[in-house]
Amino acid sequence: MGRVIRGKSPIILLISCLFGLFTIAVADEVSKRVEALLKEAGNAWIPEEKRVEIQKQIVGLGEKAVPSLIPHLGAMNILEVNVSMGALAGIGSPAAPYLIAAMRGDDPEVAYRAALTLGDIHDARVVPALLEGLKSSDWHLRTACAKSLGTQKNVEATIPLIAATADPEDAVRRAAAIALGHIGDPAAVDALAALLYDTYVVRYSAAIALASIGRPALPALEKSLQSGNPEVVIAALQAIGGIPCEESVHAVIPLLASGDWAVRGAAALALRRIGTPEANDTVAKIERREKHPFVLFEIYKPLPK
Amino acid sequence: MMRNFRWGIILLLALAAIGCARIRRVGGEGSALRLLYAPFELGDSHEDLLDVALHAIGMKRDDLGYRKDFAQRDPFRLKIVDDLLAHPLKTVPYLKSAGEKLVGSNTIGAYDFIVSQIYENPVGATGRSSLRPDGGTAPAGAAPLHLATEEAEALSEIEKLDADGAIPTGSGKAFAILVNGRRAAAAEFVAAFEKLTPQEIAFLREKALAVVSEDEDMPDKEFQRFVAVAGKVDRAKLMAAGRIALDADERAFEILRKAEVKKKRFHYKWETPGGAIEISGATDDTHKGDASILVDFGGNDRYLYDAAQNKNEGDSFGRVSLTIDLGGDDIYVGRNRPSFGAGYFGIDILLDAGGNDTYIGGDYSLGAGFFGVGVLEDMGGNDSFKGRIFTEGAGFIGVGMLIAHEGNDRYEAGENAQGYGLTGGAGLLLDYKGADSYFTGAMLRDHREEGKYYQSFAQGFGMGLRPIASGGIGLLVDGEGNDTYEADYFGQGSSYWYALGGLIDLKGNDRYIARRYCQGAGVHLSVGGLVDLEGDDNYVAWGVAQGVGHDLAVGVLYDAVGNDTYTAEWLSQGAGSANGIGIFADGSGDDKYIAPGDRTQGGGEIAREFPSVGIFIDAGGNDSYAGPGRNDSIWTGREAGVGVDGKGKIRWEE
Repeated sequence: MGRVIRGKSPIILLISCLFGLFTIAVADEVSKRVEALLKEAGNAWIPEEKRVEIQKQIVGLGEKAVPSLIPHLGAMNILEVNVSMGALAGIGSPAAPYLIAAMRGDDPEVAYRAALTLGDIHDARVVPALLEGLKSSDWHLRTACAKSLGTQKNVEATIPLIAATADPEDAVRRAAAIALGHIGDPAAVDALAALLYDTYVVRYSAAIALASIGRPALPALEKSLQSGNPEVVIAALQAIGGIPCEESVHAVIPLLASGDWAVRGAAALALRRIGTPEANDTVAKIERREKHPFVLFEIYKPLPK
Repeated sequence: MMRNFRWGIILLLALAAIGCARIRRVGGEGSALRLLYAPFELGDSHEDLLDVALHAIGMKRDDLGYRKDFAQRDPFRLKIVDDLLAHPLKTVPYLKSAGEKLVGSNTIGAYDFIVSQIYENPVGATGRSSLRPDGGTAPAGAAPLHLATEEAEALSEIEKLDADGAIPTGSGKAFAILVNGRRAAAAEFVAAFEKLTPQEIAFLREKALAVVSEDEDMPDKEFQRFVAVAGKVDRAKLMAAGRIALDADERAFEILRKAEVKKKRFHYKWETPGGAIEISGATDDTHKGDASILVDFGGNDRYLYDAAQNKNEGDSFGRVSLTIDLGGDDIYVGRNRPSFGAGYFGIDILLDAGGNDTYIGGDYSLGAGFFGVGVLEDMGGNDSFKGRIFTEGAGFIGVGMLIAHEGNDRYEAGENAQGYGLTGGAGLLLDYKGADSYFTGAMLRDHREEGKYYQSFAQGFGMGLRPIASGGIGLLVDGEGNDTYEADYFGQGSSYWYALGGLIDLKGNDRYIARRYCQGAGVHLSVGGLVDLEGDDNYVAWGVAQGVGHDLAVGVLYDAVGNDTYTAEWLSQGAGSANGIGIFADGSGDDKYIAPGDRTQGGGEIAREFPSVGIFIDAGGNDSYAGPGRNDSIWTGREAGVGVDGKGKIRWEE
């Protein structure tokens, strides 16, 4: 028996080597193909449809294309980067471990884009990796992880994202707010309401997030209307206007008498967006006595569809 | 009969009034638009309209700006770019002040100002660029420079010629300044590259064109290496070298223009290790570009630098050229090599004292600093300047300045021109007076809009090498006269990637025509501004124009005074996209605004789930609008967009 094995082993070894060489050759071939396709995609002169077609072709190559795509996440040509990200997302789960490794790697640009790409891949390994990235010392990476956690819409991320609303970097706070809005967990309402006191871009994003959470956000928003800070009140009104709900009308109506024309305008617009009969009637009534052109504009301007 | 008629009129008026009230009450979606814009009375005419606009969209002044690095920092980031990105309301005062300073400066003052904006350590800080009090040009504190035997001999002969009256009396001292200046500048220039190996210098020279021109493909790793190697150039020393050369040329010029010309016809030439020294009389001469110090005492001269022997730039590294032409209607032609104030891995200063001159340059010409310093100063006459790429005030790891004093001048270029600052550099086109026309384009097509239009990257354009190297400063400053500016894509006070581009026109009734990314447009984390301080002006663009910030960038258009007309189609006149900040402001005058498309006259949007801010302000006059705006009114655009037309002040931040 031993002799038989000994006699066959050189053949097995040879076959293994040939198979190995074949695999390397195929991988090399795929790599060359990916490089060529990305180079073409990076040409600004080709039409967008052609770029979409290229991305599809790369997706068609499957997991074998992934190792070649990863370095291109840090390419200087943004068209190349976009196609690489799109292709990796299209390949899906098989790309996840590579992207997770890239996210933990040394190249910050590649790590950032790997984290963003992971947002579009639904795989059990992704959310834990993104949560880990949320603790990174690189705030760009934390921002990308927060954003992707929002895209994942996984409620497990709520608590870490709430913690991220206290991040020292406003870009991270903004991304966390947006993500919490996507997840829609009412547990995030208080943290988001606190962000209404933040910088403009953060409070704006928080307002959108609170509107996404909807009715459970109303008590906190109504409380914000009492803040006396016009910027906070305007942001809260913007959120309330995005929640078509009768209950908030009574909290908004007193603001139509505010001494601040910007607050009155925002209140009128919020009521129009709520659009209940009571809200509309109230706006119609105050229109007759309102003099300020800004408020009148907000009363009459067409609402976005 | 009359009584019935009167009752009829009353009845009709009553019906009309009821109808109007009805329309207004129905209001709502899209109806009664004209009633949306009730007369706007601030009550206090001194109220600040910027604050009014910001308050309308729930913002405060502190909310405007970008105080974080959205991309990795690199050694080329400029302090002024960071500052203006963080405080966009400083952009107008900064550009106004820069324009006024530059118009009030001589060439050396302009150079010092520009250098102080791109390097934290101004030229003088090294202590090496000061001139010796005895008129020599060796840097103060540096070891004395010894002239080559040939140079010393040439100077000795020139002194003798001066004493004999063979050349204009009193001109000899000027040549001593020029020769010493050339040597001192050359030494400083070489010192600027002392951290680079010969192979690295050769690599920079080989790849330089590919970096500037998008036509050539360059692999990422090579690109990164290029930027890393470029970063090793000591820019303070480079600037000091330029300053020494400029100072020598200017001081020599002051002596030469006072020298008494007794006879017109003479010509002398000496070959020296630093290049030939040539003196030419006040006759109509032809020069071939083989002298590195050339003084021509007048006449209608021809500088024909296209000759085949001048094409090889292989041995020109560190060349310092100082040229002075003391008058006449001259023709300068140098299409095949860097020419006429072209510091291409070297230093080149050209002063022309006057006359109606024609300059025809190629790539890297007419005030171009490309790993060097290039200055072209024309002191008068109606001149014509024509260049191709990287020309007419363009700088990349260096400074390029084109300065024209009086006369109605015509500037034409392909792209990367007319106040163009690329990474580590600054480009300035400064025209003091005259009705001038500026044109760029018609060379390389832009890929957008199916290639129908051309790239400009010009007329006050700052640009970086995205995404690895922040950009420089590009300024076009015009002091007086009714001027015309024409560009296509990327121009007229615009910018790209951590750079600053500014067009400042102080006086005159001007016309601005461009296509896209123009007239106060910041693109991708940069700051672009167009400031026009006086005159009845006309602005025409297509889109992403007239005070637009695109992608975390700041774009501002400010016209202080005059009855102006603004025409654009979309994303313009105070608009933000992709989280940018766009500000449009007109101070006074009866103005006309046409911008009927999407996101105009205070147009914002939500992108990446946070706002882009667009602010439109007209602070006086009776204005007419085609677009969302109305005279004496306030309105909001989409999302964080707002417009105010009132009578009040615009308080920028100093």
